[in-house]
Amino acid sequence: MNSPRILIIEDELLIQRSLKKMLEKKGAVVDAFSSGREAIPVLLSKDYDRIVCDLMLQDVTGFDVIEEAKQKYSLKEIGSLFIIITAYSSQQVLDKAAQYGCQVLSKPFEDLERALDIFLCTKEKSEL
Amino acid sequence: MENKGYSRAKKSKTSLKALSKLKNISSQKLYLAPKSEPIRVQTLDGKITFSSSLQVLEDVSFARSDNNLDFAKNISDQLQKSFSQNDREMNLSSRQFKSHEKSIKKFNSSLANSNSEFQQTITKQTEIFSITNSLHSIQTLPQFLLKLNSLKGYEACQLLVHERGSLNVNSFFYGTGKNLDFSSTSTKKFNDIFNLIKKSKNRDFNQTQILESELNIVGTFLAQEFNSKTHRLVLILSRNDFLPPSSEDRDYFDKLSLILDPMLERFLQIDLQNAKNNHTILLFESLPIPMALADENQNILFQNKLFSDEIVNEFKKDAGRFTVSSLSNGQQLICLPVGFDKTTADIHHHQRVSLLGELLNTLRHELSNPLFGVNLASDLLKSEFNDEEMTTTISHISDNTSRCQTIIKNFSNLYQKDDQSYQINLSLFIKEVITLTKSESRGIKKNVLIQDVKFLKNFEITKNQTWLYQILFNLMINSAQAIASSIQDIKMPTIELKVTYNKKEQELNFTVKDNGPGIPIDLAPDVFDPFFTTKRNGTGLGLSICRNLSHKLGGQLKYQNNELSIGATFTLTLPIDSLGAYL
Repeated sequence: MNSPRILIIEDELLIQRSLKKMLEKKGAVVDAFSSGREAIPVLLSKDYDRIVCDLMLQDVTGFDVIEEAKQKYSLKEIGSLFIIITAYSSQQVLDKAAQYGCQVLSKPFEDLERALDIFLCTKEKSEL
Repeated sequence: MENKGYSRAKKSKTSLKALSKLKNISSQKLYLAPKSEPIRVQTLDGKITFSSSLQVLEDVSFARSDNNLDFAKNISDQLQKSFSQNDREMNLSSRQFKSHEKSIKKFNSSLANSNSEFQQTITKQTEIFSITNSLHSIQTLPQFLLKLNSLKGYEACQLLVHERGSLNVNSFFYGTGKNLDFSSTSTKKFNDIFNLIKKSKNRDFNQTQILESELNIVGTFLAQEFNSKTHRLVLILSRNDFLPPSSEDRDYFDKLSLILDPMLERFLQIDLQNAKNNHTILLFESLPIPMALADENQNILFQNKLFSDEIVNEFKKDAGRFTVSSLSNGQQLICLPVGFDKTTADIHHHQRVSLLGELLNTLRHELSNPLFGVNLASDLLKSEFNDEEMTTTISHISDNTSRCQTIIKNFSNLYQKDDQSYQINLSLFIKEVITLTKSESRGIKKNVLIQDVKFLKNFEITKNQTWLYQILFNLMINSAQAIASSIQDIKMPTIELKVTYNKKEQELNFTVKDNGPGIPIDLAPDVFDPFFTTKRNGTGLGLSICRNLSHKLGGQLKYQNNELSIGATFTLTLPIDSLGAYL
């Protein structure tokens, strides 16, 4: 199996770096960005197995990133490709994420190992 | 309530916002409706106007001001204006009355001189004159007339009174051997009757002309209409038979009417005046600001609803703190000092609580992200190092951040909004309270006793957690501060939090007992008073709020000094229902 390619968009540097390191240790190839605007052209030009995206970025929201991704992916693909991570998991956010079919993980993660597994695509959505 | 009379109030929505700032009036439509008379409150050009549906009452308006004193002065001015105006009207009507009296006297004397046949009439006139002294109100007029000797044989009397502009007509009916019967009828029917009587040339009336159920009389009757600036009246007298009234009766009735005219006018003015006064008092009572009226020696004559007895006591203790404005008659209008009243304290408190809730929510989100980062990074580092000392240190970092996260989470859980309910086990809840008081109660031993553990362990609190938390938290902090402030050395500073269950009363008892210095006996009655504090930086609101909250939960908060040892004990008793607890 090829090593999974993961894109992380997260503006909290400690979280971004730690996740990157952890996932790399588990054999993934990881690109990481703090800014949504910088990440958008990259995700449009490169193929990823998983995109982990923070909701409250400094410049844009995670949903804005997903909207941009619609240029390249179908709604179904977006649902399985994107994982939203957020500290503000209100019902509103959950509802909106459900529209895209995206999974939402609240920060802090309840179970770090499990979260990493999800990012690594080793667990399919149906198992969650 | 949505009739045209209120449209002005609806238009000035923005000004109403200003009004709502005045006090805890949240609604934009403001109808103070004590008893049956709706009072309209509206704002125009920055003035708050109270008015009533009674058209005869002029609007009483009060200028809004941020300062209670200005407000009070304005009200006193308005009250005076309204009262003195009424006085003028009264004087006017009694002058009118006197002139009438004179003309009647003249009429009588000429009558007596000219014709001896009228001797009998003169005695009757004397009787008529006695009316002016013995009749006191319009309501008793029918009764009074039927008792007159000159009207022997008359069995029924009805008086219809219509206040101009009013939709209703009042009817006072008295039949011999019956009680006074009060009813009301429509203006239209009254108009018919009034016009019929007014336009009649022969002044012969009988029931067949007016087949109105509004008239309680039978057969022929005497009738007279009265017309004044403010009212229209119809007076009807009947023998309840079908014989036409004699010319003598008719004469007498005409003179009677002549005399009654100014009297009725006067009575109506008095009634109006009373109605006005009652309304002014009603307005005063329902003003959304605590206010009282006192004589020159500061004895309180009248207090409105918000000026509670507790405030009266406070006023007796220290009148100097109150805002007083003198009226021209020497009486004094009393307002609370700014920031005194309980409602304000309550509002401030709730503002603070909701602000705190929002603040905590923000804090939780803003802190949890970086804390999570630290947590993740330390996890990562831990796996990078083989050095045991290093990994232990990193574990500590990780543990500490986890603890921070938990505390933040607990705090925001406890400050849930009222509509967000969550469920928490009682013993867990107590644990959280203790955790959150840790910093204040450092060095103090804390005993938690949950009696009947088997039973209470399963208790789930499903509502009002925030309030219970606030009360217990406050009591714990108070105890801790009392212990810390003690001059004497306390050997084993201890706070005991005990929960017991009273099955019979379906109540939970929470006691917070400390071995601090306790409360001096002379101060004990005041501890729950708002703004009472012995702490240098205290607000004096803590215990007052605790008691308020416990009352809101249908419970009680009591205080006593410990009997056998030093220290204080606060006991909170709450009905189980208030916490939604179940097994």
